Amino acid sequence: MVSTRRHSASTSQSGRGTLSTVVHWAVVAALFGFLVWMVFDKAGFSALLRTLVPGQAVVYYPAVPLPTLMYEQLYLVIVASSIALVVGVTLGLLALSRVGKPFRDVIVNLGNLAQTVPTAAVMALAIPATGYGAKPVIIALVLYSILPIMLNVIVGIEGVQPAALDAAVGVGMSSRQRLLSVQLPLAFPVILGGIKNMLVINVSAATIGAIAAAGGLGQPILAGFARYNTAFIIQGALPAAVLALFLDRLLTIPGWSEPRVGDH
Amino acid sequence: MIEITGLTKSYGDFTAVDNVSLSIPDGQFTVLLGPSGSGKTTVLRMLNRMVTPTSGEIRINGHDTSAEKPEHLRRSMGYVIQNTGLFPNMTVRRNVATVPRLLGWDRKRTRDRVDEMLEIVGLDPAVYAEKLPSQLSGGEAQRVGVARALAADPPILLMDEPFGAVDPITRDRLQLEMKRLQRQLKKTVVFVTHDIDEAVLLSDKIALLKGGVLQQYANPDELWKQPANEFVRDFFGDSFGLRIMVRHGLSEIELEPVGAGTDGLPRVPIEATLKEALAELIDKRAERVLVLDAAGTPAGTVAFTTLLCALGQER
Repeated sequence: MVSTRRHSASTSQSGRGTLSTVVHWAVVAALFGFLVWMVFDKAGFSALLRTLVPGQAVVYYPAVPLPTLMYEQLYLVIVASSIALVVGVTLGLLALSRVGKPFRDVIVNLGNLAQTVPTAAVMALAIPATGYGAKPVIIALVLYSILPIMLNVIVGIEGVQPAALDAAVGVGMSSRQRLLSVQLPLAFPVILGGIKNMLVINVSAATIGAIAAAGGLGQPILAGFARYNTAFIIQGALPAAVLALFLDRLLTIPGWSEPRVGDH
Repeated sequence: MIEITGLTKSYGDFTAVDNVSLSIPDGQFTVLLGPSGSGKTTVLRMLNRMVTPTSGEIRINGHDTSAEKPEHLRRSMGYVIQNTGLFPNMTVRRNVATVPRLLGWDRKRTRDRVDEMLEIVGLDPAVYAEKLPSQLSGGEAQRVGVARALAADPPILLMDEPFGAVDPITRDRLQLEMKRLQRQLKKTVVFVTHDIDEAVLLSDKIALLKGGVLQQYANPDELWKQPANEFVRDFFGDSFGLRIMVRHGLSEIELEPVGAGTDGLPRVPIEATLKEALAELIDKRAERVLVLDAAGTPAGTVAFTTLLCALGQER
């Protein structure tokens, strides 16, 4: 599944890689610039929305400032992703350990199961226990994003070249040394692919958080639905989409090809 | 001194290695030879406990290896495998430095040692040290593998078909260098292969295995002259005598004086092997070669029949 991975392609093909590297970082910078402009230049962004949605009386969501909404969005994504990263890596390593090996398939299936439950349903179920706010959203996002992390840890480490692993044992590395200096570094491009997937999923899924009163960019979207105001929807959706794109590009290292479990 | 006594490895009902006993003196180049499934790799991997023996004992300099922590045991033995097993995420320098780092050597000593090892295996540190394994050819990668195995100066070197995946020309060169290296560094080498010519060229002694059972443990000349059983005879085949000629040089033969009429004879240097001399005779369709000494002056001649008798009789 992951046999075509070349770890060092970016350094070994510098001649061909230079231009695409420059283009790559230019795209990252442009996305970031666009994002910052939308969030902080209220007048400019309003003008853009007015152009996109002519004939709408109020184009800029008045209740909460966009920087605050973006901050709430990032808070949900960062907290949920951090928890999912720790839990996912731990579960992945556990599934690969000698103790966890018999439970590998059970763990993977649990992760799969968690991803089949819709985020909104998880939130709805969590709200009675946690109340409204960020907590039910974070629970839903964490449950949803453990799988890509865990699966990529498992696939990445299982995909490490057998010869390298054999040599690591043969030269006298302990299992901990093998993990830290051989397995994890070699699995890193695959794990990074999982992290990227998770962030993109979480940025979009966190917009649903507005229905649990967690704020975020979903709030103007929700308001837009309620008031038939397309401009409000765009005001929430466009920054969310650009944020997802920006994170995806930021974590894509030119020349690395990272197969992702979710992409197959 | 490695003493293997009654070594057995079973997987369920299947016996991979069956009651093998071998005694390997220090500095000996020992080849474990046999068809696939003969248990040769399993024997090798029991030496550094990557495989745990079902029964039997391995003693190194009198110490039972099962009493030692496997990681520590492995750090005291170099380990080279097919497809190099270099760590793709580390530079050549980091790869070679693996065991010194595990042993906690300081940076300066490790660095100097890496440079020294790369030079010993014929790679210029200035060119190769900072490269990644993906930037090396198969032969270069295998040299780095050998350098890594030797870096902490272990007395024992375990090699599992190390040249199995490199092209034939590179393999020939690596084999000759391996032989030179082993003589220079006086390591005890245990080398697994299924290639008869490789075994004959490199070994001091060959342990021939079949179905996990040791068939014969002897030097190639003995295996040729006194095969222990039918399997040994068949395994090495009819051309075994020809193959063995690479182990003997013209310097072992009593030369006949240079007489008249030697101008037209094919010439070979005195350090040539019998096989090379024979090849020259066949190539030039001659019955006699002129042997040149180190200075290039004729030292004597050897006749075709003398070459044939040089291996000894009584087969």
